[in-house]
Amino acid sequence: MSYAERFLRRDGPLLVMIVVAIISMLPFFVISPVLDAVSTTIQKWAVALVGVTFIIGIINLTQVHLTTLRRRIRGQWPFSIVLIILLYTTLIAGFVYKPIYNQIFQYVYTPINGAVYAMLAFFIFSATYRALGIKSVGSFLFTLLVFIFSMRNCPFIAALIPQLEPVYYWVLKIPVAGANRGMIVAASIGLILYAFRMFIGKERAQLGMAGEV
Amino acid sequence: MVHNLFQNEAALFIIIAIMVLSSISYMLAKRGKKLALRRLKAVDFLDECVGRAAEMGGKIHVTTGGYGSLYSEYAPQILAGISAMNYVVSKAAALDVPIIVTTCQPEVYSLCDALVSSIYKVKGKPENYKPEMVRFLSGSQFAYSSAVLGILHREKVVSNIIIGMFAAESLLIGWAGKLIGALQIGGTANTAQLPFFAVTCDELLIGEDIYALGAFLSGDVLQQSGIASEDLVKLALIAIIIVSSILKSLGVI
Repeated sequence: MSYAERFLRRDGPLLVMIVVAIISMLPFFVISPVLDAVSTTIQKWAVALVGVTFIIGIINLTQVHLTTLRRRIRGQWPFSIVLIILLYTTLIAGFVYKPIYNQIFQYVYTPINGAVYAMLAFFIFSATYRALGIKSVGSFLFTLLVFIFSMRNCPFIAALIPQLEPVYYWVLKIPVAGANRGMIVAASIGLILYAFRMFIGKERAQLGMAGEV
Repeated sequence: MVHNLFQNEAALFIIIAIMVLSSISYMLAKRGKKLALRRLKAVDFLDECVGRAAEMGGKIHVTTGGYGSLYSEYAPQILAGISAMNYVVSKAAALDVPIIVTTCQPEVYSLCDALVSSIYKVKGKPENYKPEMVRFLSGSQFAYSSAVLGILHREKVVSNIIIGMFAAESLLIGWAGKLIGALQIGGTANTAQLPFFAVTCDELLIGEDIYALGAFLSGDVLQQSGIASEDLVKLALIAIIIVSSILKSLGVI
């Protein structure tokens, strides 16, 4: 690979990433209206670029589902027809006639979205049931805490056993908050090193480059 | 004068300290002095996921997250997921295991598509790359997760890699994978979602593990020495917290 090719393919994107990252990060530490303005402009560029990638996303969605239709993949192609019709109806309605777009959003998208979210209640119930098996000291403590927390959230039981209230708050404020903060601090340190590896060009997957991870 | 120029000095100091420590450990590793390194079980598990898909003739589903975007504070988690995806797809390409990479963010889709096609070129199998391997499903969190549910149930998925930024959809995806009996590894730095991965996945990456995973997977001694220095910083912080707590309790500070 020639130097020019290597620069275009590897070093150039890496250099752009480092410069943009430093400019975006500096206003957090350095007080400068100029840096603030440059950083804000870069962030606006990012939003504009994402807008462009949405078009690429829609092309991919169409491509994948047209392939499913062309191959008549069993159990999948009817869904692809529905998806393509709804996708382009919504898209065209959004450009041509806004009231129809708003109605699709309000009466189709929002209820379906709510329905999927509501499914979580059943999934949580099922997951809790799975997690409650007492197999070790850890799982016993976990089950005990789930019991205390559930009882405390039940008004009748909470009124019947007022001693649960201080236990609930103690668990929430001391061990839970402590463990949570510990994880956040550790994740932040890991993140700094991850960024450092990116800066020195060791992590290159985020530039769309294959090879070493 | 200098005081008026800078802000958040403490954070800046910590970042510089970690980078200096990391540089020192890099240099030590270059001279052949390795620091003690913990083991990350997830590294072997990712190989197991690919191996099982190869044995059973099934597909591997990889997701980098169903929430956030590359210009938000969640970007690092998504990028860490992409690092894991890079490794899994490389292994899958070598063994001719079909993969499905799904994304919720259009910008991540573009990135993943470029990466996957480049992996197949590097492996000398560009003809094996198909555009439908990487799919942008939806920009909406729940539309995305319901599409993933459909893929998991319909497309003979054997291994499910769920590493990245997840919110409420973590349980939907994890549970769907559990129902189909897929081998699953979940990881996120979003602490609220970790319990859901803990009950649905066979292997779990907690918080900073997802950032360290890339270094472990690379097998590069220089990168891994950085992880060792990270552990040293964590030990130092634990010591500081314990000493400060004792001193505070005694009324010294």
